[in-house]
Amino acid sequence: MKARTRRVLAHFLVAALFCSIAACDDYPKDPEGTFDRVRGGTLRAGLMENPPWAMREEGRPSGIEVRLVEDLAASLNAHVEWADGTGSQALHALKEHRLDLVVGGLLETDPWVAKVGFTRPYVPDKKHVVAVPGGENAWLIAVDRFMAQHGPRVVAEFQEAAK
Amino acid sequence: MRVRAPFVWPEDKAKLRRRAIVLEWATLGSMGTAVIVLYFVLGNSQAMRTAWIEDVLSLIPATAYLVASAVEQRKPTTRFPLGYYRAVSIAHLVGATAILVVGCYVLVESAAKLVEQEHPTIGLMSVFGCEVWGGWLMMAALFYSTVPPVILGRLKMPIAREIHDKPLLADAAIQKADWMTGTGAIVGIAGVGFGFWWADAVAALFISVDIVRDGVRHSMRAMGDLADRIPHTVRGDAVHPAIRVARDAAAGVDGVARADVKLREEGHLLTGIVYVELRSDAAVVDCVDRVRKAVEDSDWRLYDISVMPVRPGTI
Repeated sequence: MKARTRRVLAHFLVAALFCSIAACDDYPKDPEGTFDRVRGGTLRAGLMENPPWAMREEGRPSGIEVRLVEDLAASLNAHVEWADGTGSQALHALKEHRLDLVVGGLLETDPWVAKVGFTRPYVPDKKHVVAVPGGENAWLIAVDRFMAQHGPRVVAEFQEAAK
Repeated sequence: MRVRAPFVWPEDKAKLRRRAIVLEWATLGSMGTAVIVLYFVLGNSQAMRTAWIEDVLSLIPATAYLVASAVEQRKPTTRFPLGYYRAVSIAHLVGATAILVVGCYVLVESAAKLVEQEHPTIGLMSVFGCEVWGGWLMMAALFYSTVPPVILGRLKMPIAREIHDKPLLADAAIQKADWMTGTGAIVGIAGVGFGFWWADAVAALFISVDIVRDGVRHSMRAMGDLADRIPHTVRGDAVHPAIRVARDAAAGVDGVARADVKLREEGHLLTGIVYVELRSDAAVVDCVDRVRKAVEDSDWRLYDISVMPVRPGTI
């Protein structure tokens, strides 16, 4: 084969590869398969005390982000298993993939961004994010989409109730 | 102190040299925009950060080249009686060091990522109100950053050979590194999308080995030239054929029995001493002048040649 023909063919193959990737719905994927495991299963969540975003009232998790996590799980036919740890224990567990998600009024400026994955801020004009395990990109996108869609409404409801 | 007569470039070479300078400005401009574009899609992806730092570092050889070619133009002065021609060799060393630093940086960075098993996190980004996976944007930006290096690198290679310009070749080498790391990062990010967290780091690791090798090679050459090793060609780094041409030219002059040369590189130029055994002691000065002219005319690079008559039987 002539070099020119080969080059044209190579370009064509690369283009075809990218088109086929773009056509896939499960792209990007999770290296550890978090999203597939959570769907129809258990969502292992951690919380850091930070009212009104997340706190424990008589041992029961509550707050804006806790509510959002419960809604997210419901939308995925999953049930939430809240871990006991407090504070940054939860983030350490998240980093080691022992949790699937951590809430507690985290801000996008938090230095933990380098160790775990953050969604984008889910309420306009606020900096609050949810943390997921690093590199679980399909799961990150699913959480990000859900939070962006339902976050503003739930925040507004809680503000209304506080008044 | 006696001052060297400035080197006069042959018209055709001077034109190529001006084109090389234009290409280097184009390099600074296009790489500058690539640096800016990449900066905006960086996110917290380490892969992208590496590609970006690499692009920033790859501005160094082009900058060194432009500084050196401005300095080289200065005429020899009483303070610098030999002129500023070595500035070009210094630019070569600076450029070579930059390549080496880039190579080592990418090597260490990607090895560390593999050891720490860092899973690159790439989430959604919004462009013009559309939400897309950030990986696509990164791939697009990386692709953009690989186009100018490919074109400019190819344009520089032949000119570097024609005007004996080693820093220009070193700069073409770093552009090869640029497009290779860019392409590697594209493959790596596509791999991350398939769930292979290590794809990005492995791609970078392979490429860094090649860059380090280029950096070492160019550094050795540049240091060698600054330490007056025997002149070498730009392409292939072989002993320069102009040495033999100069010796033959000297030996072919009327009244010269035998001749030898001792040459070194000064940037674009070759200079040094021609030793001649003369057939007769009469008209030595005339003969020396003829030899000098013959040698300097034998190749455009040969400049400011000293001719040294020696006792018969010593060559």
